Amino acid sequence: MATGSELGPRLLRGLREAWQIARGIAGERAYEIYLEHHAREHPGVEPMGERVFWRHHTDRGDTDPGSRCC
Amino acid sequence: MSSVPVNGRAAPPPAPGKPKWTPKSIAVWAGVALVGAVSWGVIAIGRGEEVSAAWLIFAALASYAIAYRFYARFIQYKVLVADATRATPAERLDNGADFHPTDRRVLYGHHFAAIAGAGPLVGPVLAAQMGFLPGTIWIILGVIFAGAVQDMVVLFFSTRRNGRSLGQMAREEIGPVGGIAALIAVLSIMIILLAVLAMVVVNALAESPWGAFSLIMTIPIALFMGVYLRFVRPGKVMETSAIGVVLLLLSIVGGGWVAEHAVLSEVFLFTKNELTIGLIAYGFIASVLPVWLLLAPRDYLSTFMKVGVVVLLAVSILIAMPSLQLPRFTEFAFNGQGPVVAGPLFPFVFITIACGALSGFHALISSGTTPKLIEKETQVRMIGYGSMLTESFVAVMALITACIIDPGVYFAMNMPMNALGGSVESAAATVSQLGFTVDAATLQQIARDIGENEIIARTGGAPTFALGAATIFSSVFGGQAMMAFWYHFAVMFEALFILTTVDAGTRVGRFMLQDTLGNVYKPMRNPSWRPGAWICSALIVGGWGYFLWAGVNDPLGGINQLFPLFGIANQLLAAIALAVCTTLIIKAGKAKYAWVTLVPLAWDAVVTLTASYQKVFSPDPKIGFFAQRSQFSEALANGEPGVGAVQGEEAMRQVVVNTTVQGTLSVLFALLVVIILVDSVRVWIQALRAPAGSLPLTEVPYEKSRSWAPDGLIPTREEREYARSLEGVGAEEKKE
Repeated sequence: MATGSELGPRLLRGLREAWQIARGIAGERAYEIYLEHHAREHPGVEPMGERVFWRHHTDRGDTDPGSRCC
Repeated sequence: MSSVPVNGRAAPPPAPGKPKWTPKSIAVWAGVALVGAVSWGVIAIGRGEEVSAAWLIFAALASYAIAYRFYARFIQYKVLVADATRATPAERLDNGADFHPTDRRVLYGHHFAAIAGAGPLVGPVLAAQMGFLPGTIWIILGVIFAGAVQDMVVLFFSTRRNGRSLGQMAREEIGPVGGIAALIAVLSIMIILLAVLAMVVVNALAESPWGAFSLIMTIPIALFMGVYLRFVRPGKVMETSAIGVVLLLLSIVGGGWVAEHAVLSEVFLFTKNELTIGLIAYGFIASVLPVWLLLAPRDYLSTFMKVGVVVLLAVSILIAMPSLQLPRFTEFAFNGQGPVVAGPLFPFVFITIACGALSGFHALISSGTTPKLIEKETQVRMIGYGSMLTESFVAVMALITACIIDPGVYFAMNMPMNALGGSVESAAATVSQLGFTVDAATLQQIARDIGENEIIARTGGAPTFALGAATIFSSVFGGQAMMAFWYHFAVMFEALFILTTVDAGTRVGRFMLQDTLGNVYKPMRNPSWRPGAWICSALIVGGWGYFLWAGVNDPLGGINQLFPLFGIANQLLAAIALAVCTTLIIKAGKAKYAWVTLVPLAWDAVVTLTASYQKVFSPDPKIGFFAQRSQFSEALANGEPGVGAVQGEEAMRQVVVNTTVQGTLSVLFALLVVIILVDSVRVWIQALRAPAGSLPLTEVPYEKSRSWAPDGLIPTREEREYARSLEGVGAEEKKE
C-alpha cells in the first residue's frame, strides 16, 4: 500500500499519464510520434519542422477524411 | 502502463483464458451478478409506482461488466484466438502516421469518438413511445450479443488483414456480388443517414432563434480555430479546443440574449425550408473546402463536447436519480399504431434503435482507421467491444432522458404537426385522447421554461433529449433558472455532432463515389481533381438534400416516414458485416463457434426482412408504403379533398411521390440483404465441405511481435509481473 509520502508523487504520475492519454485522444501527440519514428527509421536525416509537419498532417485529411459515425 | 519491448530471450506472455479464481474475485462477481439481477427485477416486474432511472443504469453496468468479463473474453481467446505475440499491422507497417502502434487507452478514446454520434441519442428517444422496457432490453442485450460482437470481430479480422475495409473483405471472402451489394448498401445508408440527421437539426432549430444562433455561431468558431491552429499555434490541439469550447458556451449564453432582442430574434428565426436550403448549401461548401479550415477544428470541438456531455450526463443522472414517467409498455408496443414511428414492437423497436445496440456503420470504422493503430490483437476486446458498450450506455442515458419527462409532453413533442392539429390546444386534446393527459397550459409553460416559442411537433428526438437532459442537469446545476441554458446546450451539442457527421459523411460519400466512377473515367479517382470533387459532392449533397427536402415537407411527418428506412439500411449494413465475420470464422476452421456471429446475423436478417416486408406489403396504410400510396392515389382519382389529417391535392400528390420512393428503397434494401445472405451461405457450404486448411487464408502470415502490452484497461497482476520480468531481461541485455 502507498504510504502518505508516496501518495503525492503517485497521484502526480497518474495525472500526468491521464493528461498524455487525453492529448493522445485529441491527436496532439502526432508530431512527437513522427519525431520518434523519424529518429528510429531515418537517423541522421533532418526531420520536418513542427509547422510544416502540422500542415502536411492536416492536409492529409483532404484526401482521406477518416470516418465519423451516426 | 504502456507497451514494453520484448527481446529474443523473454518468456512467453502470461497464458490467457485461464483466470485464477480467488475468494475475492468470486465475491466481486457474485456481487455484480446480484446487483444486475435485482436491477433487472425492479425494471421488469417491480411493484413500486415509479421506477428510478438509477435501476436502468445499474442493470446496464452490471450486464456490461459480466458480458465484457466472460462473453467477450471467450470470443477473444476461444473463437478468434487472438495472439499477443503476433505483430499487428501497426507494428509491421509502422510509418509514424496512419500505421502506428497506439496506446490502448488512447485508441479506445479515438475509436469511441469515431463510432459515437447522434444516432444513439435519437433512436432510443423515438422508441420510447412503446414504453421504457422494450428499448432498455434491446439496447442492453443487443449490444452484448450483437453490436459489440460485430465491432470486435470485424476489428480483429481487419487487423489480421492489414486494415482491409469491410467492402474489400466482402469482395475477397464472399465474392464480387457481395462486394457490390456492400458498396451499394454503404452509399445508400450514407445518403439516408445524412438526410435523417439533417432533418433532426432542422426540426430542432426551426422557429428557434436561440438554437439557430448558437449553432450558426459554431461556424465562425470553427473557422477561427482552424486559422489559429494553422497559423498561430500549429499542433496545439488541446489549447485550441479549450478556447473553442469556451466560445461555444458563450454563444449559447448569447443565444438567450438574441432570442430576447427585438431585431435579432427576427433575423435568426428560420422556417424549416430556409434551414433545409441552408444546410444543403453548407453541406456542399463544407465538403469542398480544405479540411483544416472547417472540418478538422469542428471535429476537435465535437469530440470534446461528446466526451464532456456523456460524463456530465452520467454523473447528473446518478446524483439526480430521476424517476421514469413513461410506463413499461404503452399500447403502441402491441397495436403498431404508434404516432412517433409506425409499426409494432417486433420488428420496429429493433429497427428504430440501431445505434447503441447494433449499428452496421461501426463496421466501417472497425475496418478503417482503428486496425491500423491497434498495438496488440488481444486488445480488440477492450477497444472493439468496450467502446461499443460505452456507446450503448449513451443510448441508455438517452432513453432515460425521454422517459423522465411527462408522457403527455413526450407525445406532444414527437407527433407530426398534421396529427396534432396545429395549435397547443388541439395538440393537448389529441395527446389526451391517446390516454396521456396533458393540458395546453403545461405545454406552454414548458416552452417558456426552455426559452422557446413552442414545443409541439418538435419531432426528431433532439428536442426531447434536450428537454430531458435539461431537466436532469438543472436539478443538479443551477435549478429552474438554468433550464433554458441547459436545453439549448443539449440541442447545440446534438446539432454540432450532426453537422460534423454531415461534413464528414458528405466527404466520405464523395470519395466513395469518385472511386466508383473512377472505374469508368480515370481522372475521377484523383481526389484532388477539382471538377471531380465538385461533381461528386454535388451528387451526394443532392441525394441527401432531396430526402431532406421531401422529409421536411412530408405531410405525414418526415421522421415518421424516413426513420424506419434509416434503421433498415443500418441493420442491412450490419447483416453484411456479420455475414463477413461468420464466413471468416468458418474459414479459420472455427465453425463450431460460428454461432457467435451467426445468431446475431440470423436475428438481424429476420428483423430487417420482416420490417422490409411490412413496409412493402402491409395492407395497413400507416405501415406499408405501397398501401399508403394506393390509399392516396385512389383518393386523388376519386377527387376526394384529403385523407385523414392530410388535406389538399398538392399534399396528397406529395404523399404519393414520397411513398413511391420510400417503397422502392425498401424493396432495394430487402433485395440486398437476400443477395448477401444467399451468396454467404454458398461460401459457407464451400468452406465446410473443403478439407481443413485447403481454402486460401487471406490473412497476413504470422510475424513475431517485438513488444508487449497489457490486454485491458487496467493490467492484471500477472501482466504486471510479466512486464517487470521483461524489463528485467532488457536490463540484463544492456549490461552485457
